[in-house]
Amino acid sequence: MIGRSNSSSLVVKDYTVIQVKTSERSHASHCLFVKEHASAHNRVEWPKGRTLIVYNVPPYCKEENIRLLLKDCGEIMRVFLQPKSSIAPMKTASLSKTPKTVQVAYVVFKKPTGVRNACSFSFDTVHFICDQETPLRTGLRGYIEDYRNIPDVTAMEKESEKFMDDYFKTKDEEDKKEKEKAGQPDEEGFIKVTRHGKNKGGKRTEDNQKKGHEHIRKRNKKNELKDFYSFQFRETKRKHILELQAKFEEDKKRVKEMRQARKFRPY
Amino acid sequence: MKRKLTTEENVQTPLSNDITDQVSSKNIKKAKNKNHDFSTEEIQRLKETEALFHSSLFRLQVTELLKEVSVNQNFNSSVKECITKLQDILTSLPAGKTHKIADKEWLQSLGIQIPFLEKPERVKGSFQFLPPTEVRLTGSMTLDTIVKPNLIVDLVLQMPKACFEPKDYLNQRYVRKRALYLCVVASHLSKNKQIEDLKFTYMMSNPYKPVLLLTIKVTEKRKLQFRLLLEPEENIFKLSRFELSKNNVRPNWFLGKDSESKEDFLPATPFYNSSILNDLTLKVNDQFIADVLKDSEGVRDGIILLKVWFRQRELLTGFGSFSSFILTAYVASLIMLKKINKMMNSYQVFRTTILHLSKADWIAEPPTLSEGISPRVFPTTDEYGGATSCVFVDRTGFYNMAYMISSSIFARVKDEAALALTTLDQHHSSSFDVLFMTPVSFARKFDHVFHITTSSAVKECMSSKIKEFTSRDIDFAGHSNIVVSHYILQILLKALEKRVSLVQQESCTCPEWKISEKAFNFDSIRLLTFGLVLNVSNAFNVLDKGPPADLTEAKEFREFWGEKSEIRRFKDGTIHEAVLWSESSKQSDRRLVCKKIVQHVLSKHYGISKDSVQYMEGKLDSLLHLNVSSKEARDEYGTGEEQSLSVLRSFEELNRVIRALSSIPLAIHSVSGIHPVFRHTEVFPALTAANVTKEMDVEKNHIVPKEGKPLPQFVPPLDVICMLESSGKWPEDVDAIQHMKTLFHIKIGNELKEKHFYSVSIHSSHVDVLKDGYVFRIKIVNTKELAVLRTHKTDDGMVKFRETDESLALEREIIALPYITSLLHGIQQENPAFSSTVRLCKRWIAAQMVWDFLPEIVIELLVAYIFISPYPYTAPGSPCNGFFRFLHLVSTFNWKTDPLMINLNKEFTEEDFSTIPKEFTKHRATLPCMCLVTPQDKQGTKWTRPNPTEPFLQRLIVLARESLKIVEAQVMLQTASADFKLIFRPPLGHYDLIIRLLKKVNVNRYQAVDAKKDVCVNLPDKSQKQPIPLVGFNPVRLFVQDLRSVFGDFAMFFHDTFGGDVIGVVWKSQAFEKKDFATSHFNYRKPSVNKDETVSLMTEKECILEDIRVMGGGIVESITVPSEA
Repeated sequence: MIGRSNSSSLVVKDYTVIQVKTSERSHASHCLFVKEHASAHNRVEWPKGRTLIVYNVPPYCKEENIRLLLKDCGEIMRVFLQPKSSIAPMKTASLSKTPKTVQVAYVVFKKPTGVRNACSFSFDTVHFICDQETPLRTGLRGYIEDYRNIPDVTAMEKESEKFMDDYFKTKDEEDKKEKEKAGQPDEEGFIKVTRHGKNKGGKRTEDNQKKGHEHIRKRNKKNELKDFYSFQFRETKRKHILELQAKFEEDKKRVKEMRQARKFRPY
Repeated sequence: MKRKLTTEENVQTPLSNDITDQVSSKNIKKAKNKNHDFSTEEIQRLKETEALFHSSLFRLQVTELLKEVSVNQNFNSSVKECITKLQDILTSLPAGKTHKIADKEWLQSLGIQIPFLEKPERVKGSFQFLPPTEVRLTGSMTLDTIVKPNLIVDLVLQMPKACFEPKDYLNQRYVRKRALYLCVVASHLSKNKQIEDLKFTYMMSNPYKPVLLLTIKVTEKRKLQFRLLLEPEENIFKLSRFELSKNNVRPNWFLGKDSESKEDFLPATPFYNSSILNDLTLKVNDQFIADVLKDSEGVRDGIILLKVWFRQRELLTGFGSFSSFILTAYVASLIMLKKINKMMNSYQVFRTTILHLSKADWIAEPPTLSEGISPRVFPTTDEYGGATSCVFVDRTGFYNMAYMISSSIFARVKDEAALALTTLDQHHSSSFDVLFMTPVSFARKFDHVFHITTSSAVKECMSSKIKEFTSRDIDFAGHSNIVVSHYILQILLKALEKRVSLVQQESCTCPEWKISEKAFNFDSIRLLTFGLVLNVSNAFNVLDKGPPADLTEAKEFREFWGEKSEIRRFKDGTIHEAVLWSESSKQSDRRLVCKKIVQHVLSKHYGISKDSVQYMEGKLDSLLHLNVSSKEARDEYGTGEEQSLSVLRSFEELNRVIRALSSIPLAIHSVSGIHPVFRHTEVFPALTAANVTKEMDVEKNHIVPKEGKPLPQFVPPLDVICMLESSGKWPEDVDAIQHMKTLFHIKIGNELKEKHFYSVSIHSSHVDVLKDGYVFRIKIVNTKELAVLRTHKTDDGMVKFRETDESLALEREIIALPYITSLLHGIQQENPAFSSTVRLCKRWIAAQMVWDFLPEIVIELLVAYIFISPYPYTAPGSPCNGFFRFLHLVSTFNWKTDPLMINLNKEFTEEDFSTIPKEFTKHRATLPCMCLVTPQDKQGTKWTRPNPTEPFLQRLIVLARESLKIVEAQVMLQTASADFKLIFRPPLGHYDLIIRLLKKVNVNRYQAVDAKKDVCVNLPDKSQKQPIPLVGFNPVRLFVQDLRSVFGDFAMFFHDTFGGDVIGVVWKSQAFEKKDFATSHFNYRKPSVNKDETVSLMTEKECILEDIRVMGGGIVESITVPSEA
């Protein structure tokens, strides 16, 4: 399970452990777990053999820090940083700020050797994820930089307008398609009732369905005669007693609970 | 057969015997006929409960309570045993020698001090001890109404006639002999080995009536406490000798003047007389009451309930309060009046008595036990009324049993009774708890509490100013403090008048002392404690308007108020005498008007200096003060109520502008503020932003922070939501709605900027607008988004609506929060103390560094509950008081078994009160640990999910309980330290790590509990157009949030959001266990090889610490392990 291959790298269950530090002065090193990305779902973004997956990436790590760390392994095409591993690359949410977490990085190399080189990193040498040119943007400096990044309103407007245009376009198309389909029997000869056209059916929602049931029940109830037969009268009286009894039992249970919580010691 | 059994509670009109009988017999008949599966008794009990009790739960609870406080058979038998033993010992005591009363040598040789304040010492007459003629049981033991935990059995010893001389009624001779008699009994009993703990105390704190307390060891574990009372043999004095208008203590003797000189004025000594009458009539009244009450379980239980109720209100002990004897006698008098009958159950007896108490006037219509006895010449009620404040005529007709009760206590009892009735009428499930389980402490009952230090100078001043002072002093045997309290109360009532609904002194309770010690002197009480319940509609008036200046009353007014009174011209042109108490109309100053009045009046009339009055109101205000460098700004801010109003005013103007916006295609449905400041609950309401200075970096009309430069003043964004009208045009996709909203934000942002010239900052999720120095954060919302989030389509095409986390969050923000904001705003309009109370509570929560574990709105709702359902009190009139009740509510409410029903806007229906608790019990397991039910949220889960968590709630309960204990002791001056910030400074010792923060990044450090006044705020120049200030930029908070999101699995982080300069860290122990080697456990762990060659993962603390340092660069000063303190 645990193996030390030729070049003093530490491999545990296929994962190579790499120790990294942020500066010479820091006491503790951080362990990254890297492995060739292998998944049943082949994604174009993460080509098989050329993608390295890196676990336990510190929250303050940016793309340039990863690039710095792996710069000697081979040319890097793209780096994906996400809060957790996934099947496909996660969309970066542009509208809401995501909280900082430990990250997972997918690094796509130009050649498969990059992955292999990365997997044979030595455990004993400590690597650095920042240097003079690529400093860490953390702490007060990081917060200040984030704040100074004032959104560009025109770009924002353009993006949203484009999104809305696309949205309405696809929607129109869908509507059109559906309209065309309306009234046409499908392979088995059924005609779908839609909200378009002359005979619109009501929307099939849970509420509407319930309302239907309710209506029937109400009608039945209305036709019933109350307190007509003496047995009915007796029943209502009995029900009343039963209700009282039920309430009594329930209260008794509550009181028992209270007694257990020593709720009856007044002082 | 349409007639239903009495379902409405009709206990107010007493049910006579036959009605009750009728009801029950009917029940039986019906039951037999129709309900075969229930036993008749069962049905009878059910129906009876429905008709005659508050509710079945109430009945069960009462039964449990009675079980808890009543004594068992075992106790009764051991009492009997002890009594026979004591009787034997006492009746066989040997007779003593004859001594002069004033002679103390023989007593000293016994090692006993007389339990009486001998003032003056010399007195005529001689005393000889003779064994008691009778020893009998009295008090609650005879009536079976003895209540735990104070199990004291009262025994009366009858002193033989031969002990007394005919003139003993005069000049305290009788009472001194009585005290001596007790000394002799004590000396004999002290030799008995089974008897221990001999102590003296005053009966009902009456200094004329010492009693002997003793404990008898029955077995090794079981001890019984007895109290020995004394009464003289019958007919030693004529009762008419002690009529209230008569004098039985001669001033010449008392004041040590020449006894031969003629006395032309003999002031009445009603208290002295009544105290002796009490002894003389003890037997008659005891027997009569026992007779009236006998053989009725309901009445007996009712009396026990009354006792518990009184005791919880601290009204059964101390000078001037009620006694269980008076209570019992009152119930007896109600039986005589046929208001109570013996068939009633305990609840009915309780309710009827409370009802009558609430309407009682014991001067105009005093209760009496003397009805139905042959007419004798006894004093009319007028005579009684002149001498005392309450009258309750005894069986003989001579003795006023209520002579001890002070008018202020009686007013309190009436008030409490009325409150109890409202509580019962509310039909809440909690009414039982409110009545019998909640202790009503002095500090929580009274809005304002103050202590007066008495001194001999005060007494001299009073005696020179008040004519009757000396004669009263004579009547109270030289315990001047009793008299002083009386006059202080009187002047307070006159001075405060409409500002208060209750003024009461905390009853001075007489301690117990060993028989070898000196008798307790009321003058040894250093502090007299008073409490005020405010009448909030008048209490904060800054002006007292007197009579027109030209009337004769004006002179009196001037005399009363002294130099404070000025002639003022009013708006309507009239000229009146008036007193102005405060120049400013700030709430923080108005709160202290009553303090000013009390101090002024006491110093003017009684020479009590301001320093001798320790007024507790305002002591916690400093927590809401603004600790900035400029004194001007501090004074103007006060405690911040006005600042909230200033924000609201600016918002009103902006609101109008927004509603008139024309650039968006949809109409604006509503604009509402959802930030706490809009409901007056923001601890530190936003200050106006500072002016732009040269040092600041401005980019695109935004002030931006810059490294290496000091951070500008913190400006919070004030959230406002802008609801658009509903429209079918909204897209049906969440992302599309977001982009749509972005476009709207851009539109209104641009319009506000270009047409109205506001500084704006447009973001995709909101628009920030600067108005009068405040930044309002406007968000466009719509209900369509809610519907989209809820909609869920099943595979077969059915549309279902299911709440998701997102939809719930959105619903809270855009529907529930605006509604609650308006309701809480309404509560503030009615209760000026609401705002400061909430803010004080929030400040306390934050100070405990647990702010982020309890949603803000939860605190607000809890405080709202205190104001809406204040039972057993009335709504708090001062923030301090509200805060104490908040702590009490949090620490004592049974969160596990009950939902807290907050009747916002009184929208609960009768049915809700029964169905909600029922549903709650049914679903308890799936509900959050704290359920705050409102009419809008009948499950009570809206605000308490996911926080607070169960462990947190437990911690909060402990914190609240301990804090309350400390702060109440401080208010009642039981502890020497009076540093009221103590409970706002939690110890740091129990944290695993302490992260100290750099001062310069702690932007709101002026809000800290112990802030140094080093932050500068400057007043804005409103005329000039300012760029958008630095909004919501608080690096410390950002850092804490990041710590939580990154290291939440490993540790918990605690921080005081209001300027706290430390972060407390507690490791989560389960995070440090060995984990299997799996991707889910990679974070912050390192592989380690086990003994069996397998690899597991271990958490690396060092690595986490390193990353905290990296992430806190420029923020963290140091990380230390706290020293155990």
